[in-house]
Amino acid sequence: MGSMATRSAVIVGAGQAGARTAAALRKQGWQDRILLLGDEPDPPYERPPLSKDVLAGSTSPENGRIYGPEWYADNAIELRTSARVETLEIGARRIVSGGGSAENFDILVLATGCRARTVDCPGTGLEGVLSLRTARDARRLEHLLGSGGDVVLVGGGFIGLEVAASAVARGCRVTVLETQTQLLERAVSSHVADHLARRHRHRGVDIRLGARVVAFEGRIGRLRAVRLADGSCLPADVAVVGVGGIPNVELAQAAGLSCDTAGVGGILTDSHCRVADDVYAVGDCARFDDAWLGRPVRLESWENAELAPQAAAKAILGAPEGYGGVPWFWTDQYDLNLQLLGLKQPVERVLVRCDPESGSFLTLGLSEGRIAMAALFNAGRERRPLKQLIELRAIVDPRALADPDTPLKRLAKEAAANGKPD
Amino acid sequence: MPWCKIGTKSDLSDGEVMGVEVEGVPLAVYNVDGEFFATHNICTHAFALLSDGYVEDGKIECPLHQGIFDIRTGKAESGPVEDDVRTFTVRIEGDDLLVEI
Ligand SMILES: Cc1cc2nc3c(=O)[nH]c(=O)nc-3n(C[C@H](O)[C@H](O)[C@H](O)COP(=O)(O)OP(=O)(O)OC[C@H]3O[C@@H](n4cnc5c(N)ncnc54)[C@H](O)[C@@H]3O)c2cc1C
Repeated sequence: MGSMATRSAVIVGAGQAGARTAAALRKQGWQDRILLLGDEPDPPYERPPLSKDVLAGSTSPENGRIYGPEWYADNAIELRTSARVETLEIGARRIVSGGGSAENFDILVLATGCRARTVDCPGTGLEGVLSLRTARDARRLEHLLGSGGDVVLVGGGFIGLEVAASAVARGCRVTVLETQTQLLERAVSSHVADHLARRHRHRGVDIRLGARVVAFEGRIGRLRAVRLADGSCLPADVAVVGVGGIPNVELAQAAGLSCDTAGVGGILTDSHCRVADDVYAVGDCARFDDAWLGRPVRLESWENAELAPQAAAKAILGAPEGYGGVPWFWTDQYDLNLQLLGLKQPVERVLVRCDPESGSFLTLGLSEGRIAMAALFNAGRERRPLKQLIELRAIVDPRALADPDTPLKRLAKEAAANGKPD
Repeated sequence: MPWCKIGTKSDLSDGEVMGVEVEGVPLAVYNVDGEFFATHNICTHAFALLSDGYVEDGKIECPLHQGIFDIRTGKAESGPVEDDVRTFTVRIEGDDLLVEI
């Protein structure tokens, strides 16, 4: 490889993780060819604004572009949009795109992301029933919300709740349907979920827990109503299905690369994002061995799409470092910026720091004297010290944690000093 | 270029940041080891106020997406931020902090 002609790094999937991989490779010193292939018509963009500012009408998906057109030229990144990769030939070090054109690779990075999961019931093909994953979906939905009306969110997850908040801002009547008995069941404690539910109800959102959709009903191809398992029927002009993501692993699977088929799915990697010799996977599509957690996880987060590419580039350039850390996620709903540290897990007690009435407070889940997970309500400033405390697995005095007059910065400094070996 | 008063030294203790608006320009003002600095208050990556962020070792971390800037130079150091944040010179007169806009 090395001493021969130019090498090729081929990245499949031009979302956030794909674009950031291209950038990280260049920045870290990859001097040869970089080819970035994506099947969407849009050049790489960030998805978080799609359910927030884009739907609220205050920005367009174009503003979320990760790089401007000049950047690709300046950094000699060959970007091909509307280019779907159909086959990976790992042994032959080749990929084949739609239309049959083939490209050789020396390094292959899979960044194929997720697609929206659908619900299995009649009527999903009606106009007005949609999911939200791409800029195209967001443009369509933004247009539909513009005319107000009745909006039903199928699924009380992050996307459903963010769309609910945006639809309220657009003057729509909004209902959220969740099959579980709490919102965000997989991601947050019931304490945090209850707080969010109150915020939504306060804005007039009808939140129905334990509610299952059995059919979308329409007339002349257009959605009119959503029917529930209990027989009731909700009028609806728009229904957004937000019931989670399915990792795009089929390409890797067909090529014989190892994928998780039993659990949450994902292309399996080690803690250097490596799938096999010269093959890497990053972002939503990867189930990686997290060096900090000490076990495999698949994360669907902006942060992971940002950081895994750095780790993959390091490994590709011969300076591997274990990838992993305290998972971080954020969501914006109304005037609330909620940030989450740590994965949901059973905890022994929950502490609240600062007065929730003030609008800026934290809830901390403790296990064996350590912070296991934290929710920051309009309190981004506290993220860094909290993350440090969690990362160090520091044993902390719960009274100090709950006391707003004890700076977390100080606790983190103390913990770091204690944790240092002599 | 007028010098405008943005506060007093006692408004900010060491390691703190505050947001002010001067002539329509949002600024973040910092106290780093007793020295005062100012940058534009809006993160160059997405709309977030740096004054809600976290100060450590002469750096400010954006409260939303972990972008990190050098407070003295405005240089974008890590995270998603590619563009540097604009800096403003702070002058001290007695107890007053002044900035040239
Ligand atoms: C509406 C929305 C809001 C979100 N909000 C937040 C938030 O507030 N906070 C947060 O932390 N995270 C949020 N996320 C999650 C975050 O955006 C994702 O984790 C991130 O986009 C993952 O990046 P990725 O590059 O791995 O995958 P993607 O962004 O999905 O990119 C993968 C790309 O690969 C393409 N592709 C797939 N297969 C092929 C193929 N065979 N050939 C060519 N191209 C292919 C796909 O079409 C896609 O363009 C949000 C996601 C959505 C959808």
